[in-house]
Amino acid sequence: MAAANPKEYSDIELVNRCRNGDEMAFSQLVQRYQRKVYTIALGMVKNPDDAMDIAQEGFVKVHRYIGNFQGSSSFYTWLYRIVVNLCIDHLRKNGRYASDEYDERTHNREGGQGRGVLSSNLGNNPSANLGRKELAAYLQRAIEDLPPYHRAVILMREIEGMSYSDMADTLNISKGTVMSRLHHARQKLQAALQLYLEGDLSVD
Amino acid sequence: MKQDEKILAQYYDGELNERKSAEVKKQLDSSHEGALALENMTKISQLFQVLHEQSQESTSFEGFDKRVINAIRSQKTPVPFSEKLRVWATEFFAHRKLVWIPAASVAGAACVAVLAVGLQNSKQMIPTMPDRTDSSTWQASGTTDSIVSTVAVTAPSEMNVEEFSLETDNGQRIAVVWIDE
Repeated sequence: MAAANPKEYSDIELVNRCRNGDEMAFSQLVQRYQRKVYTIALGMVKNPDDAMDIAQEGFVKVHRYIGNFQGSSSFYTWLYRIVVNLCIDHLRKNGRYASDEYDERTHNREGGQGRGVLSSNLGNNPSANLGRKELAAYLQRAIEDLPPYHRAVILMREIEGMSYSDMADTLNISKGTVMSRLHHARQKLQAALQLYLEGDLSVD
Repeated sequence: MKQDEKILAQYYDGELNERKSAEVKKQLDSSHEGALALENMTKISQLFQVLHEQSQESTSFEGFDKRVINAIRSQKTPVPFSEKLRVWATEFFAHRKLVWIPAASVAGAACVAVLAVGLQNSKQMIPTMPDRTDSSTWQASGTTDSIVSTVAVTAPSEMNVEEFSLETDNGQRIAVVWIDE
């Protein structure tokens, strides 16, 4: 006999059950979003242990303040907002936080010139073969060089596939700001991975 | 950000409507630069997927939900009211445009006006000082619902004081302080 599938509740149904003290409902929410939350946190703070701690803290906060969730946005944008803010707090505490303004100045001064992290690491052998995993590691380094808010939008877009509107809602910014940050993030990543993008680099 | 870059990014991210998207697609057929920019965005996206897969492969979430529940149980201290208020306010403001401010101001002003009118009316509801020389029983007029309508005066009719007592129909005594202007 096939096991009956547990009922698939919507986020808001689970949230309402959590408000009534249903622990199982909260567990379902955690299971539904744990990977996504962890991925965002890992992209933001890099360290897997820190990312796992932030994911846990994010869910604890969600449980603590679930009574305040007003349902005017989707549950996951609320959850992501909590997690992104925790990541930014974490970066700030660890002195790895640079403001967007500082970053814009740096970017303008450098003008996005050069051949990026790949060039500086491969030196005189730009036609070296790289594995996709190795290349992804370079991407990770390039992401780390982005300011946190740029990092957040590019991760939400590329990993979660979030719409501009959802990102704006999550970060409490306008859609125009989302587009601007996304554009700058992409420009910087493209500059960092120029060798790969220009085809000077073969990938296994 | 240039206009064409902005449109191209929106096209790539699926943020354009069908008509606009078809227009951009048509333009890309004849724009080498645009096609290259699109290809670069695609390549970056592919790398993100590799990065994502790697992080997922090496991470186990077994028992993560239980860890979270245990962490919640260990933090049983109640949330301070100020913190609750702060979170509530953050949520409240995060999803409401500033248009609510004038709306709330108008609503607030309306409430104040209603209260002021109510207060004014309640002042008018205070019964007028009856003529104490005519009768020992006064019919109070203009009283509010909470004040008995008929009272028997026990003070002498010629009294000239501003504080006296009344006896209601059911024998209850009420102290009255009259401020006669």
